[in-house]
Amino acid sequence: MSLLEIKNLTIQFGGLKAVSDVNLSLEAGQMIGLIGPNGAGKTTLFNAITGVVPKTEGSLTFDGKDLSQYKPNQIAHLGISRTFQNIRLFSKMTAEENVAIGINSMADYGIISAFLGLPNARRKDKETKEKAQEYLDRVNLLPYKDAIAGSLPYGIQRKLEIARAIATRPKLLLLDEPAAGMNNEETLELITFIREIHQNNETNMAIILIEHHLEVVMNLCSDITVLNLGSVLTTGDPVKIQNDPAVIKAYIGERRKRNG
Amino acid sequence: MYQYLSGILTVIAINITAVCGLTILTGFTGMFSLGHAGFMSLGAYASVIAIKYWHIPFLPAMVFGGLVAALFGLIVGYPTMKGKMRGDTFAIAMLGFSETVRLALSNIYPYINGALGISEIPRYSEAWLVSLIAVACVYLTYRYTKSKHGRIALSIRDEETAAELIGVNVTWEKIKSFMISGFFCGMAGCMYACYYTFITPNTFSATTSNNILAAVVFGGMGSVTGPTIAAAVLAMLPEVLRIVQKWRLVLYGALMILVMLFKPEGLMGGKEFSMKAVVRFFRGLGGKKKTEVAQ
Repeated sequence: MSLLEIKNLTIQFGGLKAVSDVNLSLEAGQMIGLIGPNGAGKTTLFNAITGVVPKTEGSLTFDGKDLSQYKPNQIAHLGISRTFQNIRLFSKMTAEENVAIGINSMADYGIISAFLGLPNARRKDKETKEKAQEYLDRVNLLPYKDAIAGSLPYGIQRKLEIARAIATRPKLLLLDEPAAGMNNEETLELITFIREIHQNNETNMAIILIEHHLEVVMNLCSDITVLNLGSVLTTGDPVKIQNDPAVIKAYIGERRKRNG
Repeated sequence: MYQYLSGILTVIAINITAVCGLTILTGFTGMFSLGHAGFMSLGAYASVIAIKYWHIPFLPAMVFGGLVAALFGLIVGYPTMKGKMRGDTFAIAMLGFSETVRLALSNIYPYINGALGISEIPRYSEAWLVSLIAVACVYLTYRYTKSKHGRIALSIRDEETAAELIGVNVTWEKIKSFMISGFFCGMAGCMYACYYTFITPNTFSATTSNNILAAVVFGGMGSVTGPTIAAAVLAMLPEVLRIVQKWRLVLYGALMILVMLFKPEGLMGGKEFSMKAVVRFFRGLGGKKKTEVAQ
């Protein structure tokens, strides 16, 4: 059984079909790319998987569970975590606290222990702190642990957001344009970074990557799905995608014949 | 003179207790409320009934008042938070809540005498006792905000969507903050009633709500010590400004405008007051002077 199974998914906003009849399946540990021009419905697909927008038709199954039965925070606990196209860090907290919230979004000791600062609460806090530092270390952000997240450089914020997402120990990680706004050098570093977190994790994590920088997807993913105007245009390996005339047409349009 | 000072101290302590509650809701969870006087009212009435009719001692009655207020927090919080009310909508809804409480209490005659209110409440609120309670409340609030619960509240204030998508149950966390804030305000209401010895439904008006909210914003969102200091200052200010008589309230308003103008993030701006920071501040000043001399 696949980890994520999307069948005939349609999402409609009023008269607009943002996603129509999309099929997609993903095995544990796999990394696939999701590309397509602006407005193709990539982020909407992510929003549907994480429960932010309701589906109109079709089914979303994760790990054998029907996702439409769950609220966004419950879906996160099932093991789906994501980053955002425009960074959404807790900008007034330190880097360490950001990751700490990812580790323990459910406070596992009661209100009374918290008010009184009882030993079990203190111990748990210490554990969380250590784990948070471990995650930061894994993504080489340990030197920034006490920096306020909002004041960090852009590239670091992107990485921190990914660190926060993997701190929830997800089985599926959704990365929404992680290389947006990065220069070539930063993009290359990001490729190595994503490959590393994909290979070194305890949960055999699968990744879906939305990206406009084609070299990122071509480099990282063995399997790519192209969306256009809400539906799947084609699926295949990077070489096939790169040479597919339909993809080229969707991205840069058709060469017009000149009259005369 | 002693009575005058202990009176001011009592008012400060009551103010601080109420502000502690609202700090958790507004300063940490980021929900503005214009109606926490409603909780003070509910807490005051519940505890006064417990004291006068059931002859329960002061401290348990105070906690009972807080619990009743928290229960109403749950009743009001569930539909408002579930309906994803936020920002201005929520603030106005709370205004409606406190008005509803006021009008309902004005029209209930058994036990509480409607608009006439309850008088001859025993004067339990001694200055030392309420001060102790206030100190305890500040300590508890501080501990809470430093815990995981506090951190989660902050994450909702900073970036609600992201918090929800990494697994925070935003609705429940908001209701929780709301109930805790109701609890503290309810206790403050009880202390108030047992200091002035009479309460009417109009005792806790919109002005009371505004004053508590002002102290939280004034002291700094995301700080506990800041609003505590602000609550004390705002309670003292009208007394200190007595020297200018008629111009008292004008100056009070002008001071608030000035602080918001020059320190929009509030006095402490999300940081906590600590002796270390004070020492560092003065060292910094000293250090600067030395370098000036060196030049």
